[in-house]
Order: sequence, then structure tokens, then C-alpha cells
Amino acid sequence: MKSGGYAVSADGITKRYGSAVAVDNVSLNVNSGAIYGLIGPDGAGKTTILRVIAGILKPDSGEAFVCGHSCEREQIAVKNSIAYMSQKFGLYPDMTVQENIRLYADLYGVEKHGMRERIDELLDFSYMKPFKHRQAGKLSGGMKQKLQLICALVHKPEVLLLDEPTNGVDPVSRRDFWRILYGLVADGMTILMSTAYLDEAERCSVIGLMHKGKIIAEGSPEEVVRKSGIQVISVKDGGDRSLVKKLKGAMGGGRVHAYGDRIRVLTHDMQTDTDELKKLAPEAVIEPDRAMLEDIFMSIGESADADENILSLIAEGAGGKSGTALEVRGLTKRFGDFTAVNNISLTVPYGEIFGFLGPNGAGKSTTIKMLCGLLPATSGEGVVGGVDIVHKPETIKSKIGYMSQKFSLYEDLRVYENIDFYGGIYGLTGAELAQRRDWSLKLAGLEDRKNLMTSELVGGWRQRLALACAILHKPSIVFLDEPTSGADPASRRLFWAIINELAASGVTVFVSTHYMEEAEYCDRLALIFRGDMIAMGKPSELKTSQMQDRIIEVLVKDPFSHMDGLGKLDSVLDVSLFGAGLHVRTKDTAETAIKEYFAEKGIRAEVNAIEATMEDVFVSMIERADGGEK
Amino acid sequence: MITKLKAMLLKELKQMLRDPKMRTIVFVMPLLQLLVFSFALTMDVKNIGIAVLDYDNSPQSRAITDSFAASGYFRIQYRVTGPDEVKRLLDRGDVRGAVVFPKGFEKDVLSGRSASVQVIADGTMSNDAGIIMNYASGVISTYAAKNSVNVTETVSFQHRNLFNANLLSKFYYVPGLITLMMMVSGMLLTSIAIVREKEIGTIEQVMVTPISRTEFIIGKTVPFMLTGLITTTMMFVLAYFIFGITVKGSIFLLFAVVVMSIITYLGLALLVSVSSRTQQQALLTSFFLMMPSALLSGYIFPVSNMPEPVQYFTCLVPMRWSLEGIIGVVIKGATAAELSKQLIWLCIHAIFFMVFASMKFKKTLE
Repeated sequence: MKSGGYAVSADGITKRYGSAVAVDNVSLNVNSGAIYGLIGPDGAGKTTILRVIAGILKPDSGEAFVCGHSCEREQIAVKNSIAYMSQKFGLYPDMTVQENIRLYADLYGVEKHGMRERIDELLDFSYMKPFKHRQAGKLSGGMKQKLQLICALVHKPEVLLLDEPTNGVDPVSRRDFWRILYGLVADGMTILMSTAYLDEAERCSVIGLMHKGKIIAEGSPEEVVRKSGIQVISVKDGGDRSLVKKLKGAMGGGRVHAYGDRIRVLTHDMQTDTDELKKLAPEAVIEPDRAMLEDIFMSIGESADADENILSLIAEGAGGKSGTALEVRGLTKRFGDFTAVNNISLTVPYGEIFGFLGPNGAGKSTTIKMLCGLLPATSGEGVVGGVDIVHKPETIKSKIGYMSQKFSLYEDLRVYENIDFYGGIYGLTGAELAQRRDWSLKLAGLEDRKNLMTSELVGGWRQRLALACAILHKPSIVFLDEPTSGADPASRRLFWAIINELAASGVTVFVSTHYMEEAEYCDRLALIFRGDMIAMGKPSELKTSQMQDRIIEVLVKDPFSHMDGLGKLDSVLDVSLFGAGLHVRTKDTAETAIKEYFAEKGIRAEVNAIEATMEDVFVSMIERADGGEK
Repeated sequence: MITKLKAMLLKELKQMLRDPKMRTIVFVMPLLQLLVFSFALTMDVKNIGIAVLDYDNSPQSRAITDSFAASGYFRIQYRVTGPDEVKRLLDRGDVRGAVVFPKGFEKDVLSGRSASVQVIADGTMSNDAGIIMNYASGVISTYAAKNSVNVTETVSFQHRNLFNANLLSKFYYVPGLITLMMMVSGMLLTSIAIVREKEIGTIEQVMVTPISRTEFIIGKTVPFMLTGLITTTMMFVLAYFIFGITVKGSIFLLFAVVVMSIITYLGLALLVSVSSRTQQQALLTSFFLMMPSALLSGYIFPVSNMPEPVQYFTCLVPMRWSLEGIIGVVIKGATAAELSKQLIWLCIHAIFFMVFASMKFKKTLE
């Protein structure tokens, strides 16, 4: 047997699209019962590999095997032992949850006998039972993904192939999704997945870091970090946003990155760089930090150097002001008897980055659409950019920029044609239009590709082009609805640098996001849950004064197996997966109890009380709001 | 206003004309269909079996019979001796027409009086009947001209043709077909124009721009208006070269009718587009609108033969007015004054649908 006993094995896979090499002689092996994570920038070839292994794409050379069967020659055997979940939502939106699962069960020829039990088991396991009669199209983003997973699991596959399964899914739902994945692995399933979330990658037993069609590093997450030799110095700036730029200028943009509330500096020479940083930022707290996958990822990015050029463009292209940008009171939106947004009031000055956080379907997009004049509010009043949103929604539109959650430029137009079109409908002509066109192309990094069809753009480029088109007319208020969803970490970082620059020039930026570290970049945050604004404040306030629970971090091998045990301890409110470890949320200190728990079992574990992260705050507040309702 | 409109127009034209498949659908399909339908309806009639009833049995009558046989269009299948036989053959479908020479035919011809031949056609196949009549008339007049005699054909149809007095001829149905194609291509293409953007999601980004409803609607209409005009012109040119159909009336008037018809169809299609949620819905809706339009327009069944309430109802069918207008100008050479009723109705339709569509289009997402 060529596959050597591995559950999945790929041998020298190469795949070209025209002259572009998508995957270049890649070999990988996945042990039975392991979670293998493929990570890497957009367009690195992750999806192509998954498709080859799923047997739906023929490689130019090389061969893939699943459970010893060739993916090319023994398709039937392979299809029976795998489940593949693509990035697209592949279920029937007008059929109920149960009907969708039944359909898949029938398609896979699952025996009628025992089918109902299997479906019930899956519904129970995924906490989807209460929703089984709901139409799939009406589920929230996280639940749709879970339903896809259930449908993929109905024929009891041995190998699960997942292509960015948690894209655009909120942290609470992602935790839930991972709880299911860990459960499956505990039952012996093998998982090969790609992900854009590096905290998820930390949970994999093996990761493959892909870059330009090759796997450039492979091993357990710790190994990959260790082998890279990269060390990290963390700089806590205390809210000084200009520090990142200063450090980038002094130490080279490629190794200085903002992450959450800190700046991370990648280094190979800890001592020298620490000394230099102390000189550059005497006020800041500077300390060595554990290198994470995120840091490794950033070290391979190339976009970092382009940063500065792009950022210098922003100031000249922004239309900032001072004073109050937006003030709304009692904004409410009802669809029939469903209240999507309930009584939201906000006052936001020019130059502020205001973030909306909340699970899928909480009402973030609806709120943003009302503020843009896209959706009329059911009740409430307000002023955006000095214009009444109830009576003059059309006038608002020339003052704001808006980027919708879904990419909404014309894919059948060339890049520059999209810019010209939006320039035209914003009333730009002649020299002004030409100047703004050049500006947009530079901002999007597409100067050499302006004749490309927009449909050919990938990931970060699309998002930057969309942003450029949204701010062509120099609006002083910009609304970005999940602008970085699904983009790779490097693109997201660049995108946020642009947002920062916009705000610095006096533009108010409203942004919604699912990435908790991005929430830290906002000046203020509103947490929205089921249409209500359940918290608002600076990120630091939310993490301290508004956070009532304490967080204890547990780093242990096989964290999933301890979740139930820890959850039963007194004073433990909740145990959740966090990166490669666990976060235990407690009322008061449960550190000793947790340490005793592991000591009793003779398991080595690191247990530390830590400052709550944004994700902990998010989950804690949502659960409190949820509990309050019951 | 002009900048925004221009941007919108350019974008629409680029999107429409970039895709080679789309170009084919826009420009080639209507012409191809016109050709195929027209040929299918006209040229397919050869070797029509006919019966000859010759009461005169004279050299002249035999000579004309020979001309029929020699024309290539007709095949003399039966020579019969009485009208009952003609009826029986027609009823059984053994022949599709008959030629009857009355007694004293030659005498009339030779004496220079007007002589007449009776041509009977099976009216069940209305197209064939029309063609038979045309060919027969051609054969007879050629014969008459060649021999400088005076012969006219009296046309007479079998009793079964009574339900279809409105016999089609190419002079009628080619312009009619053009009217139909104008509606089909205009409506199908335009009905997906707005809903397509809704479905892909691009409309959301456009809605947050200061473009006005009117600009958006005009931007969506004018490109289709242009392509509609181009294809219609091409179809008339084709009709001239292939079928020899000339416009008897004023070209200007013809284009006035065409433009108003296209605006009406586009308005109707935009209304469909605005009211639909998916492209599928829009396409199906326009299909279900076009079917009755074609049937009630008078193209296939004459409006005057319909029950009175239905006749009133057909006033609401835009194709009725564009058909009557186009036929009027092209075949009858009617003037604007003569077509005032059609023009006024078209005008009402055009304004109603356009205004209604732009009122229904909201720049919000509900």
C-alpha cells in the first residue's frame, strides 16, 4: 500500500491553472485521528489541495490517497470514506434542517434502519434539535455551518475535509463548532482542514503553513513556532496609536505589527531589540512574549513593505472633519413582529473608530444599514453627518462611504471600470476622476492589474478595492460591514492600518467584525446581542470595569477531554476552548481547585489567572444577556 | 446628473456587450429567429397537391393547368369532374387546393372579357392557404401577361376556413414577427436587469451612492433601448432583402411606433424586475406576460373575431397597439393621423409602465 497507513496522504501533488501554479509538488501525510490544519495567505493553494484529496479536482501530477484508496482511481471508495465541506453554502435554503439532513442521508445511501437515530444523535450533539423544523436559509451563519457539518457527517465518514468551515462565524459559534470537531476526533475521526483563524490553527495536532503553492513549514504548532527561530517582544503602548507607525519606521515595517491591544515585534536578537525598543518607547511596557502562529504567519507576508506607501495615500484622500459625526436616539427596526434592532442610541465624534461586535444575526448589519439610509428605521431619530436620517436618507448618501458585507462591486467589469463607474455616480469627472482613479489603484495595490476583470481578484485585493470605491468621494463617515471577513491575517492587518489612518485624518469609521483582536483597535465598541446594545465603551473599559468574571487560562495537552471535568468544579461558570488551551470563567478564584483537579489526575498543566481577552468579555457578556432573558 | 447618467450608461453597455454570449443573444438571436421562423412559414411550401376541375376543357384552360404544373409549386394530383369530388378530396386532406375553370372560360379569354378562374384553398392551414393563393395568383397573372389575355382569379376558400378570415401573408407576418421579436428580446433582457443586481448583491453598493432613482432607471433602460432599436432596424433590413418587404408609410412614423413600443416593453420589464426577488422569478413572470400578449395582440387571431369583452381587454395589451401600428405603417402606408388611436394607446402604455416602474423602485433594501 502506497499510502503507508496514513488516513490521508498526498504525494507530490502539482496543479496549474493556465500558467499559474496553484500547488507545487506538495506532499503531506495525516495520521488517523489527527487534526491537520492548512494555513497560509489567500491564494496559497489550500483549497486546491483539499479539492484534489476530495477527488473533485484532478492534479496535473502526483497522487492523493484516502485510507489507502487512490483519490483518482478509486473514487467510489474514497467518496464513501470522506466528507467534504466546501466554502460555499451547499444546502437547500428552502428546506428545513431535518429535510436537508434526510436528503444527504439518502444521497449517501444511509440505511433507513437506524437513520432516524443517527440524525437525532447528530442534532443532539450539535445542539441543533430545537431548530430541526426551521428552514436552512433562515438559520444564522454559525448554525448554517453546523448544519453543513451534520449533513457531511451523516454517512459516518472516516476522514473529514473542511475548507475554512468557520469563515464569517462569530466566536461563540466557532467555539461550539470546535467542540463538535474535538468530539469527532475523540471518536477516531481524521480531520484535514484549512482555516484563516490562527487561534484555530493552534488547536490542530499538525499544521502545514502554505505559501505560494508549497508547504514551507510543517509540524505541531509549537514545533513550527520553535523551528522558525522567531522571538517576540510585546510592547503595550497604553492606547497610543501613532506608536506602531513610529516603530515601523524605526525597525522596519515587516516585523512590527499591532495585535490586539499590543504591538508585537518579531526578532531574532532579543537583547538588542529590547534595548532599542526601550529607547524608542520609554513609556511603554516592553516584555518578551510567547511567539504564536500569527507571528510566524506575519513573518512570511510580503505586503508589509507596501504599507507605508499605501498609508501615506490615506491622509490626502480623506475628508475628515471635527465635531459630532453621528447622533442617533432610540433607533429601532422591526421586520413583522421580529425586532432586529431595539432602541439603540449612539453619539460618535469625527475621527473615531467605532466597532460593532456581536454574534451572527445580532443586528449589526441592520444597524449599519439604517445609519447609511439603506433601511428606513421603524422608529427613532438621528443625524448622520449633519443630515436627518429619517427625513432625508438620500442626502446622507453623498456624505458617507459604505462597504457591504458581501463583495458588491461588478465582477464583470474591469478593475478600473468599477472605479470609473463609482467615480461617475459620485459625480467625479475629468482630471478629478483621473486623480482619484490613480489614488484608488494605489490604495488597492492594483496599479499593475487595473485591466484585470474584477472577478479574478482574490482576498485582500477585493476588499481593498471595495474600500477604495467606497471612499472615492472623500466621505467623512465610513461604514464597513465585516470588511475583513475571510481575509488572511496579513491582509487584515493592512486593512486595519488603513482604517487607523482614515480615523487619524478625521474620518469616522464604523466597523463590524468577528475578529476579537480587531475589536481592540477600535476607540469604542458596542456589543450587540439580539438587537439590543448590551454594552458600550472603550475596549479597556469593557475588559476591566464591565467584566465581572475572572478568567483562568489552562494550558494542557488534549484540552477537550478536560472541559466536562473542569466545568463540574465549584465556582466555575464556563469552560471554553481558547487557542490551544482552555479559558475557565469563574466568579472568584478557582485556581487552586483547578490545579488540584489536574494534580489528582497526575496531568501536567499550566494554570494561570490572566487578564480577560476581548473574546472572554464577548462570550461572558453574551451569556449574561442570554441568562438574563431566561 | 449627466455625469452620473453617463457612468451608469457606460457600465450597462460594457456589461452587456463584453460577454460574447450576451452579444449573440442581443444581436444575432432576433435576426436568426426572424429568418428561421419566416423561412419555416414561407418557403416550405412546394409541390402542393391540387385538384383541377375543368368545366371548359379548352386549350386555354389546359394551358393554364400546365402552367400550374410547371411552376414547381403545384402538383396536379386529381382531375375531377364535379364539385362534390373537390369537396371530398379537400375534406379528406388528399389535396390542399383546387382550381376550377368555369364553362365558357376560353370564350371569355378570347373575346377579351374578363375571364375568371376559381382557386379553392384548404383554410385549415391558414399559412398554406395564403401561400397557395399567392402562388396561384402568381401563376395566373404570369400566364395572363405572357399571352396578353385578361384572366383574374376569384379566390374562394373551403368552408372550413371560416374561423380564420385573417389569412396571413408574408407581408403581414414578417412585420408581425418583428413586433413579436422586439417584445421577446426587449422583455427578457430587461426583466433581469435590476433583479440580477439584487441577486448578486451589487445593488447594495449602488444604493448608498447619491444616484437618483430616475438616473438609475434611465441608465438601465437606455442601453436596452439602443440595442432594441439596432436589432429592430436590422430585422427590417433583413425583411427587405430577403422577403422584399418595403415600408409603405413614413420611416419616421415607423420608428416613432417602434421607439414607443420598446419603451413600453422596457417599462413593463423593469416593473417585473423591480417586483421580483430572483432572476428566475423575473424570467418566468415575463414569459407568462408575453404568451397572452402575443395571443391577444391580434397577431394570430384577429381582435375583431374575439368576444366583445375580450376585445376591450386587448386595449391593455401593448403588443396589440405596436402590431397594429407597425402593420399599418409598413403594409398599409398609414399616416400618423390614421394611426392616432394606436399612437395614443402606445403613449399611455409607455408612460404608465415607465413611471410605475420607477416609482416601485426604492433605493432602500425592503
